[in-house]
Amino acid sequence: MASSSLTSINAVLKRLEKKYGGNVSVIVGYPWKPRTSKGDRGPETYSIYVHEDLTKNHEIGQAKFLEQPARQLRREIGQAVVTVTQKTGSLKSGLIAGGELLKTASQALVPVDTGALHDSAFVAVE
Amino acid sequence: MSGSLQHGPNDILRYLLIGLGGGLVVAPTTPPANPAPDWIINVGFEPTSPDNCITVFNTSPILDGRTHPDGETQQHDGIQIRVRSLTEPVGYAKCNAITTALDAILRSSVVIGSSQYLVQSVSHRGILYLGKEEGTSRRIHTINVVMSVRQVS
Repeated sequence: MASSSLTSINAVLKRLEKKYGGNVSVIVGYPWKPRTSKGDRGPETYSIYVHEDLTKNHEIGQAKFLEQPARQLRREIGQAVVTVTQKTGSLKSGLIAGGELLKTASQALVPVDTGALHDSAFVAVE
Repeated sequence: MSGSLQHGPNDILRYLLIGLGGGLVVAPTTPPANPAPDWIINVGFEPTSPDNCITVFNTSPILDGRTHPDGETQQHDGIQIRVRSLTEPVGYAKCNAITTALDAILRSSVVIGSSQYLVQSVSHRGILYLGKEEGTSRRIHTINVVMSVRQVS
């Protein structure tokens, strides 16, 4: 799975966990599983390859479509988590909001050929 | 740290890995040897041969804000090390040797021409196996690292 667990906002999370309780985490990513047969061609079979292959020139989008916004937007994501958590009183809601922010930013960068990879992005609560 | 660098972070890492010696990676020669030896390390461009080769690419940095006394922007530079090999076990073994070497780096000096750099540390997030290269049966592994480096002179 090509994913980012928002580890860069650990300090913010620790503070929020203390105040709002709960041991919850959110994963933002694109599904990944190895190809098992020749007919197996879903986006989950190539998401990590597209993400990591810096030798390819894409007409739309780029490699590192998840890692780059996760690094560039870590402050904004942290702020979204804090704001929504304080507003709703739920750390889970805050993390989902932060995850959705990263997912949207990532989808703006993901290479688009058929759109299947773009549409496979997910935010999941662990 | 970072400041401004005269060479790209991927180039600095390349020279650092070459300087570790022990056949870990091989410096390209001028003119290029034919056939090229295994494990030549390239910057930003992956040649079609030899089968076993390494390429380093710059990726997005992690910006850490500015230090209080001098206002200098601090950042960790992102680099991808791409290892192409004829077989998966050979590629994995090379990646393993590289990550072991990276783990041992601490305040290492790198000289490129008249420029000198101090690499504080290089941290990696493990080895990723990407499968077969498109159109061939060569295997691809990647290692994503962040490096803390400063130009000394």
